Amino acid sequence: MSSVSNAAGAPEAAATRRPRTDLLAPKQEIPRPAYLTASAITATTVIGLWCLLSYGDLVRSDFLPAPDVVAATGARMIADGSLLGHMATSVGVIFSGFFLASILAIPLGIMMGSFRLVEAVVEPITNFMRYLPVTALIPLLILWIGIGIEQKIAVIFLGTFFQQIILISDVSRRVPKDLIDSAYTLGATRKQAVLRVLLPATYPGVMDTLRVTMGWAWTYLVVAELVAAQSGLGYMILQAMRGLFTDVIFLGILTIGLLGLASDQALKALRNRLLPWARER
Amino acid sequence: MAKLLAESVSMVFGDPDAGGITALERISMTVPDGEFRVIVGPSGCGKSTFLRLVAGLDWPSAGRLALDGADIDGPSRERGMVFQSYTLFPWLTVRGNIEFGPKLKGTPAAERRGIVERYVHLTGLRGFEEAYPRQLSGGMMQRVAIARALANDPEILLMDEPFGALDSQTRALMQELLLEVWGEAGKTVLFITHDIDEAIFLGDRVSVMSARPGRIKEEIEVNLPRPRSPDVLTAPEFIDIKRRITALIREEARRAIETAPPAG
Repeated sequence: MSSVSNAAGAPEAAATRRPRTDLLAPKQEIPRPAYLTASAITATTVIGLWCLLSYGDLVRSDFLPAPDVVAATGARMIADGSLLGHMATSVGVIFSGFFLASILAIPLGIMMGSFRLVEAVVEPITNFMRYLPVTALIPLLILWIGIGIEQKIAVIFLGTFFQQIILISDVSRRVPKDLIDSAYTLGATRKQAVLRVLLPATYPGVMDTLRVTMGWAWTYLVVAELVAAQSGLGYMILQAMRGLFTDVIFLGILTIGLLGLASDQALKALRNRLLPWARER
Repeated sequence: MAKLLAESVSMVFGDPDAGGITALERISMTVPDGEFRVIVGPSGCGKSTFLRLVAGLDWPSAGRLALDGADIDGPSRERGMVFQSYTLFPWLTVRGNIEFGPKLKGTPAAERRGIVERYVHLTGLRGFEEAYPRQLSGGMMQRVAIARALANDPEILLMDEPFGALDSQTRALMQELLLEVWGEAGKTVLFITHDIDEAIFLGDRVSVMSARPGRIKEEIEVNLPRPRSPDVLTAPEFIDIKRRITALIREEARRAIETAPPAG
């Protein structure tokens, strides 16, 4: 009774009551404007700080170039085609290394995670290799495959392949056994269970792994172009260091960051397009 | 005629001579064609292990299992199974899941369409044919799982606590739906549960299992009229059977707790 009379007595209050928004509650959605505002504040703070330090003459210009100088350098290097040339070289190196690593690591990782025998064969190598910094291998790579483009691709390959194989084998291992057993009780042969159930069940995890390791591939770029490169964003940065052309260094860093971001977004879009049944929000 | 026959089936995990665990000990059972048989027992009594043996997913240490007189030798589409966990293929729509089995055996598309139509109708899934599993509730996913198993036209339907993860209201509705589907499809069912009400409500006959090692302790005939409605839950005969099974299970559950080895 009392609840009925309450509801009747204060309908307005009930209707106008807004959900409480608490911006600091864990795991709680926050309004979109609040999210965008916070992000915008971060971006403007970083750029603002950059402007303040450079235009305010608080830091010497050969240590920290002003934004307009970097922009002008960018415009000049785009106009004369040199930036695009460096980009093309680097993208070529990254994609070749990443592609080679992926086409080997995906099948091997899936098998390693679901076939104990494959795991037993592969694991000793991967568990050893995954802790080795790629930089430690560069002298050997130079000795074995020289200083050409192959060496740069090999750095990217080694930097991503072993991580991919570990992550993908984990994805494959986490596919529930009940899923495979269901397929068997529906009449699937072993081959059908692998091809029609195990494989598709790993796709979302494989795509996530590709996204993560693509990011790591970009982080190896400068290391890859450390030795005897003639072109590439990493090479461009290293060359600029010798002449203290900080504007070019900044331009290189920004370009790598933007290309990394673009490839990440592209893989995310690809995932949502190829795997609509596992779409992310 | 015996549809499913189990003769002295035993299952030992590990080395029997060195502390192996006897999960099942000499289970014998005859399930006639078309019967709805329920196995009820305390958790850890090995009832799921037994179902996996019938499915052919595991191999018994001793004894014989046969369907229609032929020894069970690995999994087969004759013995469809519904699991407690959600096992729909998430990359397939409801339609894709239901026609998975028929597709494997090469049923032509036109015929598959008819099969999907029939079981979508039977399990009340009309309108959801093109939905993906992640868009469905737990109860609906299990309905699709039942439809998927039946669409393959198995000789026997094996169900391993299929409603165990559902809330009690959904569970009650699913039990009624299952009885309807069973009446329509006319399949032999072997159903596992630890829920005594569920066992009596569904079953023609209830096999009560003991724990450690798992044995069939008693087989109880459920002579309640069909079709059954939830009213049957309060019928005197129902209460009577429930009292008997409860006593058997309590004894077993207590024994299981007292003899259970330390966890871990």
